[in-house]
Amino acid sequence: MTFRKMIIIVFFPILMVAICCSTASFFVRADNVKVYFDGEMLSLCTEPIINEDSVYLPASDICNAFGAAIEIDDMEGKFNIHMAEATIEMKEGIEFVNLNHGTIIELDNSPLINGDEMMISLSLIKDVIKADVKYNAAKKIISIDYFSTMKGTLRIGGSENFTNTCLRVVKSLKEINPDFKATVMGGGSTSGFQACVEGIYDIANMSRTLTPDEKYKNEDVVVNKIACEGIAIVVNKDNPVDSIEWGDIVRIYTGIYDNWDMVKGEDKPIFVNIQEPGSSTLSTFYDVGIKPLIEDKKAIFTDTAMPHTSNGLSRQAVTEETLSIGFISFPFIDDTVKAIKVSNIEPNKESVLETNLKKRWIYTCYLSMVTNGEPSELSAKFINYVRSAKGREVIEEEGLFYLDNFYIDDKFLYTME
Amino acid sequence: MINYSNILIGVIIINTKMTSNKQDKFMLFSKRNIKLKNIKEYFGEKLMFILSFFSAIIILILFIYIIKKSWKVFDFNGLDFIFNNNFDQQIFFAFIAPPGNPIWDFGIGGLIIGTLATTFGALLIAVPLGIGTAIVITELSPLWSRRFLKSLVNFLASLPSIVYGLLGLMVVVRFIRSFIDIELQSKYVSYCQLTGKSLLAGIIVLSFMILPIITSLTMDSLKSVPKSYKEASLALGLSHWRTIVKVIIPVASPGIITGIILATGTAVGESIAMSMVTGSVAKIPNPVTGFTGFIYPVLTLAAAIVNKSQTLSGESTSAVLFACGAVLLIACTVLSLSAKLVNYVVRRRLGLD
Repeated sequence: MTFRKMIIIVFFPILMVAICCSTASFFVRADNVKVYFDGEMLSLCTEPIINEDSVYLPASDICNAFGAAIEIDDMEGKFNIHMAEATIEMKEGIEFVNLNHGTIIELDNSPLINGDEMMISLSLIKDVIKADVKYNAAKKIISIDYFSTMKGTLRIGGSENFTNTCLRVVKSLKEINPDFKATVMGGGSTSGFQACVEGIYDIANMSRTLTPDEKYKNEDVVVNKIACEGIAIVVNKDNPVDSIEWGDIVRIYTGIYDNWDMVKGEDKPIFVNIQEPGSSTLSTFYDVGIKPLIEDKKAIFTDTAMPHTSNGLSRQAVTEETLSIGFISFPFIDDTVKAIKVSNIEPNKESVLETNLKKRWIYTCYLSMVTNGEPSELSAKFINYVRSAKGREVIEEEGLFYLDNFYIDDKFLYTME
Repeated sequence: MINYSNILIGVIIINTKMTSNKQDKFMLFSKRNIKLKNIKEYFGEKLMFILSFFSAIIILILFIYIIKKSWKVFDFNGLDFIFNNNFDQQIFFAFIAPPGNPIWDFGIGGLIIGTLATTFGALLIAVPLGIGTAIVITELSPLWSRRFLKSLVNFLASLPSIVYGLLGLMVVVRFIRSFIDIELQSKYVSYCQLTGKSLLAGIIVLSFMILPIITSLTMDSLKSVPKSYKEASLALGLSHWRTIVKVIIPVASPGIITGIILATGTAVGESIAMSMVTGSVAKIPNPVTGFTGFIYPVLTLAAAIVNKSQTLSGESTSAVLFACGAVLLIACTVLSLSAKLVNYVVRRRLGLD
């Protein structure tokens, strides 16, 4: 007995000390280390730390710069990094990472948690993400080159809604990387997808989801969701109607209702404004707003509907005619028209990004970049750049909504409650 | 003076001696040079011939290309393509149809009627006005104002059509809208929307566009009437007005008619301004309804190509737009051929040729 007690008395403190030593941070804060990403200084939320001779950087800032999304599982201490070409699964304190659900890679050192912040080591950035990392210990400079090492020409095409954003992203990428070249074309989602499958484009911009037919014929296309776009229903400012039900909008657009008093307005005729066939706003509106809500899947717009060649002209028509109803994409909303509520849901950023289907704005579409098969290194890097902090800036400026949780499948994204 | 002339003669003599000494080298019209020049001329002529032949071939290729692109539509629809009317709905469904199962059902009857209605309406306004203006400018107005009026007409003829379109949208459409009340709108809402964008707006804008063309071409043909005709007529005791009506206009009529036909070609092919003011819905105006028939929205062939050009990526939709282009091309070819024919016939009848 005494021997056992001896063991407990002697070894317990030693054990305690050992445990404390391993968890209590012996991390050395690396003060005044500057991190340069593609030649620009990165401002970090916490200082980098040095543990066992390797430098750790905060994961959230690095993910922002790389255009990656970080998914944290608090229960199991796991965290995943999602990028266009790679999904990196890792766990705190374990030196192995799971790349793309199968490839196990051994690292020099394991990821850490410092306070609330995930820290990832430079070797992870170098070996798994495959960026050029240089660490100058004497000058305390870390330089990471990822987007500035892109070489080659990309051919991008598709949805007109996304063309301008793409052009601006390409322009800003060319500023840091003169070797990179890209052609950006419009032409609509359908033709862009077709050209991508045929190999004419490397990346197709889509402003709608793939049709079942397209999915079935091309099994290995990869859809990279980038952003969300909303379409608003607008009426004239003098119109007293503030809110319309989903179903009534379908009835108005298919010509069943032709008077405002049927939707609690004045006794006046309704003038329906649509956009010319081929415009992606019309396609999206038809696909998400009209087609799913009707029984026979071949409903047509009322033949009195007046088509306009652009969102701007649509808005102008609604401004001029007091009886009009029309739809325009969110960035075009201004004081001259009234964006109405639909089934008591306000058209704004929150309702577009809402995951609860009952509170979600229905006229919403994803803007995505589609590649034929897994994206090549160049395409993947470009998609990452669009998702990075700089690309995000452009996306928000263009009136689109950046999608933080792009990695979640639609099936798991939305709930009815 | 004498010294100078002596020197001059001396220089000339020396020059002639030099040329005669080296005759073979410097003589311009040596046998060799003449031969070279002939070869050059020969090749120059052949080159010009080939180039002009080439441009003719390009026009032919254009025809063949457009017909070939649109052939499937003509083949599938036959004559119904010209007479059926449901273009707006058809092109929308053709565009969203799955790529493996394209829809080829099209009918552009409404577009053709819209084109004819706007063109003839515009001609009804522009021809009398244009010829009258030309007569006033060349014959009746005081001399000091002629030049000013002429340059004004030429300036109007050179205005880009988008300017007319903008003016039409901002002024003409709003003006027509002010005549439409809510009762009329309620009455017709199940057939079409009366927003001011209409056939009438199209006619007014188009007539303003072709007026300067007719005026300036008529002015040219009036001016080319020999002065002796006018002098003879006046000398025989006819008044100025009767001289204009009985002598000058008949002699100038081939030129005037050619001008009208050219203006018709412009009116048929006008796209941007028409797409802005006519309402872009292919409705067939009902003449029974009187004034209301004129404020129906219509769609012309050229405007349809501009408006629906976003659908050019589709196979069948691009084919139908090319078919619209083919119809326009054929119409314009017929018009320009008929201009030549009318010119010939009228000149023969008047005994000018």
